[in-house]
Amino acid sequence: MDMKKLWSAIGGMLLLLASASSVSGPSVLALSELKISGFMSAVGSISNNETSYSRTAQINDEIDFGRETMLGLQIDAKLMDKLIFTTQLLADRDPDNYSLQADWIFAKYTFNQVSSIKAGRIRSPVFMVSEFIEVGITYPWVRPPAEVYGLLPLNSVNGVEFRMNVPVLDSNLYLQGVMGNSELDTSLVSISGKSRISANKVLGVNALWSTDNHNFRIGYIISRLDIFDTALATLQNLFAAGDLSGTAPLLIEALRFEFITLGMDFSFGNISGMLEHVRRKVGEPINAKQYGSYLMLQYALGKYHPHITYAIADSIGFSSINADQKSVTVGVKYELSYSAVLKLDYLHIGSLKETPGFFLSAPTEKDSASIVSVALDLVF
Amino acid sequence: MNNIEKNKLPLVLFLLCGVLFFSIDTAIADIAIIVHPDNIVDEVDTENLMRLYLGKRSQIAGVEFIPVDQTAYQPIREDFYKKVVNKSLAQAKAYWSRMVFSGKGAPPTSLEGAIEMKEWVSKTPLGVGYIDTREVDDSVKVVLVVK
Repeated sequence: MDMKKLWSAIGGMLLLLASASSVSGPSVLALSELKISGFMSAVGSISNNETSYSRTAQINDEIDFGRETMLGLQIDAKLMDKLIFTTQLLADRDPDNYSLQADWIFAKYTFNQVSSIKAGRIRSPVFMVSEFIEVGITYPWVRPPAEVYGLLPLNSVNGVEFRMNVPVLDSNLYLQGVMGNSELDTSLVSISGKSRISANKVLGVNALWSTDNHNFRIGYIISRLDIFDTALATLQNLFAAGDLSGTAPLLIEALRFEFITLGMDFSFGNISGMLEHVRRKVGEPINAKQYGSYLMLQYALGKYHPHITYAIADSIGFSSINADQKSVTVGVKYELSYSAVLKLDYLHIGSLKETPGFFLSAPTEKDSASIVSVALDLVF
Repeated sequence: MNNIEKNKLPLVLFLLCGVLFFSIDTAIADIAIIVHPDNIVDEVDTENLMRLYLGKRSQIAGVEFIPVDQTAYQPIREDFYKKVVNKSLAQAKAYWSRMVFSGKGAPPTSLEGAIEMKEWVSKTPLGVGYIDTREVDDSVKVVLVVK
């Protein structure tokens, strides 16, 4: 675990915070208002299976307190009455070293109380919690169910987003359209282990109907993917002396990718819950259909919020990216203060049906896993 | 007899502390929702107030409002969120964290106590805030009392 780099990243962010805080009034950059907020998660997990689980968490039978630990800082600068510049900086480990990156960086112009537009690097608004997935205090689990959240590897989009908020009687209807492109380094589809997915012309639409006690959401995202084998390019560079072009071989071109999501959350007194269903369709030559769903129920018992989640991922046909599994999560979220929570989750995974599920590779020892995770999440 | 009374002393003290604790708890006064004295709105309901404080609405009865909060460590804030917004302070923080960190909105500005809130509301024609009913004076208009 390279803690030095984490502390360097935290130091860099604090330096930025200090310099940003010293900005005073309109004399510097004509800022009329500067807001700084942040979040932090310290997560520890252990599994009874030696094969690592989850692309982002990578949990195995050695206890790890670093993989999902992160620190985020958001700076909102009001440049004019209707123009806000926002950047969200994230220090996390991806995949082996701590790094500091601008997870978001966009300008938002508000036309009126109903409509606004964002331009820059924005979060893909695909799932119920995907726009604030790093902020652990906002949901009950240590991490959202992989059966749904593990199906879309693209986290952010470089492009524009148009949003409308239409009041309907005592409720609100939020409409959102996103257009742009995205890139991701992954091992999902590759010959030699590492690939780069380039998502061109990402188009997404979402509708959220929000009442006092419910939220209903429907989303659709479509894109064409180019997949390059970056590990193969490194090998070629090593062996092909004199021809170090560095261009990664194109494995698949213009792969059609389609994603439909349905979601809902509700609260009745002390009982609340959330459910989501997704369908992922990947075109030729991979030709894969995948479904994912979960249902979570939670009960508020003073500062304790016990919860239970059943999740299922199911695929149709044969493909290297299929993931079949079922899981049950039982956990509790405890409110340490109004801005800090402690979480304990027990996750049991099984029913892989000849696929690796959301393990990094097909488990060799046994095709199930029990994972215990603790997390301390706070916002400031 | 004396021994029995001595043995009962801790129990009596415990019950006394309990009575005192619950007396203090129930002694929290009613909450007055206050606006600028010149505001044309004379009455608001808790449902619309909840939507205003969650950023879902900016108007009540066709009139624009700017809500302000008390700081998190003021006891009245917990009471206000429980009775009006139907959320604990932690649930309210989680709600606003979702809004802030998705770039959708920001929570109301927090002010330090009743004096500062009254002063701000009395100088802000669109302002709405909340204070203990015992702190109300002529500088503000009460549009709802939450018991």
